[in-house]
Amino acid sequence: MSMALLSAENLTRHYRKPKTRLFAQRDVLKAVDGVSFELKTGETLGVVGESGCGKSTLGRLLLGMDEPSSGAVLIDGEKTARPGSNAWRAQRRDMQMVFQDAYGALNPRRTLGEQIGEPLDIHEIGDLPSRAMKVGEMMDAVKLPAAIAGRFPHEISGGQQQRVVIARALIMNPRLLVCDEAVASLDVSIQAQIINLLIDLQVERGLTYLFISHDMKVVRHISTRVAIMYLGRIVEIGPRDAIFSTPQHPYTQALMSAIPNPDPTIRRARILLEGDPPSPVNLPSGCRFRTRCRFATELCAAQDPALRPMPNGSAVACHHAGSFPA
Amino acid sequence: MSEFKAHAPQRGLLDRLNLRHTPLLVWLSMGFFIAILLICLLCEVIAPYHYTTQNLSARLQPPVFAGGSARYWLGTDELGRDILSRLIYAIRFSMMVAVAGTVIGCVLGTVLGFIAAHFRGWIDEALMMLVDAQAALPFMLLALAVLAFFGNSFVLFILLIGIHGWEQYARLVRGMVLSATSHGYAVAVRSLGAPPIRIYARHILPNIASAIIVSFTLNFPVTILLEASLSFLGLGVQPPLTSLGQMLGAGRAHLINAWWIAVFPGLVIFLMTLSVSILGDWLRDRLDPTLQRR
Repeated sequence: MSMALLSAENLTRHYRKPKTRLFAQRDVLKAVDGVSFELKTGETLGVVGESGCGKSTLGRLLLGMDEPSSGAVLIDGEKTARPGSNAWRAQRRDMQMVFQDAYGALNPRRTLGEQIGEPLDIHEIGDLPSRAMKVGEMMDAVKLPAAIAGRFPHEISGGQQQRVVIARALIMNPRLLVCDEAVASLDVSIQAQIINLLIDLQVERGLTYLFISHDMKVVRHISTRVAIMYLGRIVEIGPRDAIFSTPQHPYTQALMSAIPNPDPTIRRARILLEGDPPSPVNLPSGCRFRTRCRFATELCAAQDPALRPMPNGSAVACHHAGSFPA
Repeated sequence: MSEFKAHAPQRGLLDRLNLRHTPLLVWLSMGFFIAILLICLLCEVIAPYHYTTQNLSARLQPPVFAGGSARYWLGTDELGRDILSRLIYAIRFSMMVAVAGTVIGCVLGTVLGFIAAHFRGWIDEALMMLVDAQAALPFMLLALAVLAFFGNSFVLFILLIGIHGWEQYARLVRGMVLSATSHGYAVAVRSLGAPPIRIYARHILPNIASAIIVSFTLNFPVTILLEASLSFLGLGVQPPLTSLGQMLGAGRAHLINAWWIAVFPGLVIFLMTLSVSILGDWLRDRLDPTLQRR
């Protein structure tokens, strides 16, 4: 078995909220609460979940942009360095990030060429002419016209801005790229371009992706494996086709039933979830999905289910998965 | 938002200042300010006399338009010194103190603002407490106490004026750095592996510079007034050196029989602060991107 490029071990991130009253107890917001998984070289793990389920916090933890409250992130079996340390900075050459807000991620006062080449400058890779050449190659690789190297971020389109961010992230040849809602703010045709670009780049460069999104269509297109998050936990993880064709967790089933289908002749029963997800400050006892689950029993309130393997190749955190009434 | 992107940042500085559509008042202020700068540079050439030159036989001469002679255009003081010459040297001195003081305050405040925003925690709290203390304390009292205790030296005087006003920059810079570091390009550059110094110097500082410049121009007239007040009270520049405030203070005794000794420096203080304030307001309107949306 090939060793995992990255693995998360029981990762948690709890935020202590400010006191509301002088002698009140501090509330703890459990943004990520016990997440474990492995990421193998060359695969794309799609992370899906609704707003506030901890997807972005998970991405930040994996990249060491934020420190976990407990648990660890291992790269090639070694623990990642403390955020901000020199070792951590050196690790940036291996792992990079693409942001949702490409325009915000670019400095409005520096030219695009300067910004794409900035990582080389930071890590002192090569000399000036070789850096300029690298920038040219990289712009070519993400299909940006070379002429815009001297322009500023507000002078190009949103899709081009995201290409610049991708070029900047990839110029040091990282192995892992975390895309946090990388296409969410683009319109659909541009989304498709960017996603196909990401797929091409992955094939050319042997990249590994962690693709965070709330958009099931996008995740289905790009991922090899999919993890479904709910309130800071992975509730189901497995190969893409298993997740999309035979979802096991009631939450995943509800998500799948919400994907619009272009064929009007097919009428599917939509599973409607009642109410809002519980607050990550006051989690329900036992299974955290039970308050909105159609199949919840007393067992669900008493015991927190762990991930267990299912026959279709995925793993599910549900006491009753596989034995639901159809 | 898209409209904002299309029109706002990244044009050249001159372009952004949009000189063609500049009100007359701003042109006048600019003209006056440039004249002041020229006077400062060319003191020795312009001034008809040295500021200490006395002519005891021509004391308290009125200005030329109030019946005086053409030898002393703006009249003379009680020691027979030429008011015009003294005014010219006083402008230079006051400008020097004001520029040095404002620069010291600006640099000090900016650096402390960055430090507070970078370290957070107790360092931030301590610095912000200092800021609050300084803002709450009447600065004149502090200045009087320090000058009275330590005696008056030129360096101390400039330092004191520099310490005045730093808290505005510190608060401003801290806020802007905090908001910049928590999202956007600063996070992106950090995730590339850039050390904090690089993020601050190459990315955040250029982006907040226009706000600091505006703050500088708004703070500058206050510093001129502070220097004038301290010198007026006799705690600033010591004779025979002269500054606008010192001239004003010395002329006070002769207001009834020789109004010109106090009125001319007063007029210059008034015009200088007014023109710099107008220029500062105008700069703020032109450089602040949030005001450029329409």
